[in-house]
Order: sequence, then C-alpha cells, then structure tokens
Amino acid sequence: MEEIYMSMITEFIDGTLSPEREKEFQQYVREGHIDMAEVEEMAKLQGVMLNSSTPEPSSALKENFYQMLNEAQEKQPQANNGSSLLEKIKSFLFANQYGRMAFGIGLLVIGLFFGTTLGNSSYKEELSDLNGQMVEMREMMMMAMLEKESVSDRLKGVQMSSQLSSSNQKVIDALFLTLNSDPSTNVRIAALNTLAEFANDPKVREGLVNSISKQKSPLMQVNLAELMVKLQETKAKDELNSILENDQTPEDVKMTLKASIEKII
Amino acid sequence: MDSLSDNALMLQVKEGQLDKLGLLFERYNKSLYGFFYRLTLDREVSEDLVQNVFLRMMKYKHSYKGDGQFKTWMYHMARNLFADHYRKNKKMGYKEDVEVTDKYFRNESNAESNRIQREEMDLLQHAMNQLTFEKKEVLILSKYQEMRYKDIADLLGITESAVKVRIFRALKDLKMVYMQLEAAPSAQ
Repeated sequence: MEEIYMSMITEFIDGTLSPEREKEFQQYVREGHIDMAEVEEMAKLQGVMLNSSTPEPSSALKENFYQMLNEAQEKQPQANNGSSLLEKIKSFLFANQYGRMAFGIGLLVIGLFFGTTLGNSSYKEELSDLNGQMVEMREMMMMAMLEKESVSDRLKGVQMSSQLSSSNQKVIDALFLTLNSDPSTNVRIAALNTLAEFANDPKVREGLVNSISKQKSPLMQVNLAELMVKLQETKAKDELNSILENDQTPEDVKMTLKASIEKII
Repeated sequence: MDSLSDNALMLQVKEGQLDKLGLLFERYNKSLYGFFYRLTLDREVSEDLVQNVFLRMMKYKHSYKGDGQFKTWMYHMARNLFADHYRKNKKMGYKEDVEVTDKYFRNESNAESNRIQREEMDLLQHAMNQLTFEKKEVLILSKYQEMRYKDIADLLGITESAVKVRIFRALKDLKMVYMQLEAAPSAQ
C-alpha cells in the first residue's frame, strides 16, 4: 500500500481528516485502494486501546518528588524571587529578620532615650507612638514570614501572629489566606489554631465556617469540625453536611464529622 | 502570556522559583508515569523514571528556551532517560531471566499456571509488547499521551507524514498480533 493511503487511514481513524480530504478518502475506498473492512478493524482495536485503564502511580511518587523539591529548594541560595512588591521593599530595607528585629529594638531604644530626656510632656505620646510602630513592625515581619518558601518560616509567621491583637484586619486576612491556601497541612493547622483564639470576633467565626468547604485534607476537615463543636457554631452544619455528601470523603472522616454535627446543638 | 501556561511556569523555574515545578509535576506526573509504565510494565522503575525526569528538568533548567512546546522538551528528556535505563538493564545481564526460568522449572504444574497467567495478562498489553520499540512508542505517544502528529514529529525528528505512516504500520501490526492472541490465548 502506498504511504499516502496509510497517512489518510491514520487520520481517518483519529477523526482528524478535513471534509475535503474525507471526500478524497471515500474516493480511494471506492476505487479499491483502501480496504474499508481493514480500516474498521483497526479503528475497533484503537477503541479497545483507548478504553483500557490508565496506569496510576502510587502515592510514593508524589512524596518522593516533594521531598526532592524541598531538598533542592533548601540547597538553593536564597535569591530574591520578586514575589511581591511588599517583599521587595522589605528585603531592600532589611536584609534578614535579625536586621529587622535590630531595627525595631533600635527604634525602641532611641524612642525611650528621647522620651526620658525630653521631659514628661511628650513621653506618653512618644511611647504609644513607638508601641504602634512596634506592632506595625511585627505585622510586617509576620506577613513577610507567611510568604516565605520554607515551611518552618511560615510556621514562625503564624506563631508571631498569635501575639498580635485580633483587631487588625490585615493580620486576620493574611491568616485566612494561609488557612485556605497554604500547601503545607502543618502550616494550615497552625493558622487554624491561631484563628481559633480570635473566634470571639464574629467575622473570624464566619471566615472559619466558610473555610470548611475549602479544605481538601481530611485532617483539616476533622480539626475544623472539632473547633465548630467547641464554638457551638450552628452555621457550620450545612458546610459539614456538604462534606459528608461528597463521595470523595473517606469513611473515617465521615464518621467523625457525623459525631461532630450531632454535638452541635 | 498566561502566567500559568507550561511555558511560563518552566521559565519561572528557570529563574529560580523551584516551587513552580510542583505545578508542572501535578500536571504531568500521571501521564509521564503512564508513558513509562506502558514501555516497561514495571511500576517501581516507572516511578523512578518520572522522578528522574523532574530531577533532570531542574538540573537542565538553564537550557530551557521556551520557544518550543514544553511537552516536547519534557518527552525528549523522558525518552533519553528511558534509553539510558534500557541500556543499563541490558548491561546488567541475565539475572532476571535466570530467576524466571528457575521459577518455571521449580513449579511442577508449570504449563497450567503459565496458561492461567497468560489468560489473566492483559491481552492488549501483551500484544503491545510484541511490537518493535519504535512502533510501540509511536502508539503510546499518539493514542495514550494524546500528542499531536506535529509534536510527535518534532520529538522523533521525522516528518509529520512519516509519523502518520508509522502509526498506521504500528496499529496494523498490533491488530495482527492481537487477533492471533485472541484466537489462541494459551498458545506460546
């Protein structure tokens, strides 16, 4: 058989022939250059091929890959990734976290010095001003830490945030972003624990309820469910139920969730 | 340019954002695994080879230009790795073969178990295994990895029409072997 017929048969079976070429193909069939019975058998076999199951790798593949990636990342010299403008400005001002810490402490010392030497009148004002600056510094540091690549740095960032007050919306937003999208379960759990401390704030409670449906990890789902029981958050019932109805949810998780829902009055 | 396209991601990896390789891994680990598994029929080896593809991407990231298809670049590495693996295994000699023969001779009801094993074995996979490497590979690339003729042509360094002809010949051979096996599944 000539190669031009072979090419055409391949395309015919794959369904990639243009309408004109298809006409040409039918012409060749009529003229007896192409044996339609053979083409049909080949197409049938291709159907069998496409229906065969896809081989699935084991979970070890993923684990090994991410381990390799982590190792490679740690070996890599800490280059400036330019991930955000904020990050750039900060790394320009302060080379590392110690630098920032020293800067903060330095500010405090200078402030105290001026506060004590310039007399009592401006002392209180200066101090509260400095306090404000310290809090701001901490917030900046925390947010910078949350954007780091290393898991332990991000964990430190979450820990730092627990020392800040819940009143700052920026801190809360950053924690929710971490809770809902950080790739590491450990970091997400730490964020959850910190947010739980601020649960008196109705906005935080609402955010926590909304986060339930965003969690894919069974560990997170169970942790959130337990927190909801503690908070007796009735609004969470719908969210938890939707996880229960999901076929992908493991049976063990479903059982724990059911028990949790019953405990929420 | 879409910042999440394969090309854009790989260029970011090249610039040092190694975490972006994770996204490419999520996108391609299964299909690469399928590629190797269908060639080797060995789970462990296939997983190792997939891991090595990504390792190599990291090692040779500086050579990524981003002008061609990322997928072609990736399969280029995959093919090289498979060739290395194949060569190494050949060098290691007949160790595995001895084990297999040993097992067969030890087992008294060898013929019977052999027959059952054969029946259980996926007929199609068995037929695929009888093809020459060239034909097997082109079928895997076009039917399972769903690569376009053009991309296969780039990868194999042949023309698009040569790819179509090769697919035709491979599918025809496969059909022949498959029908033979189907008619006499227990035959040698």
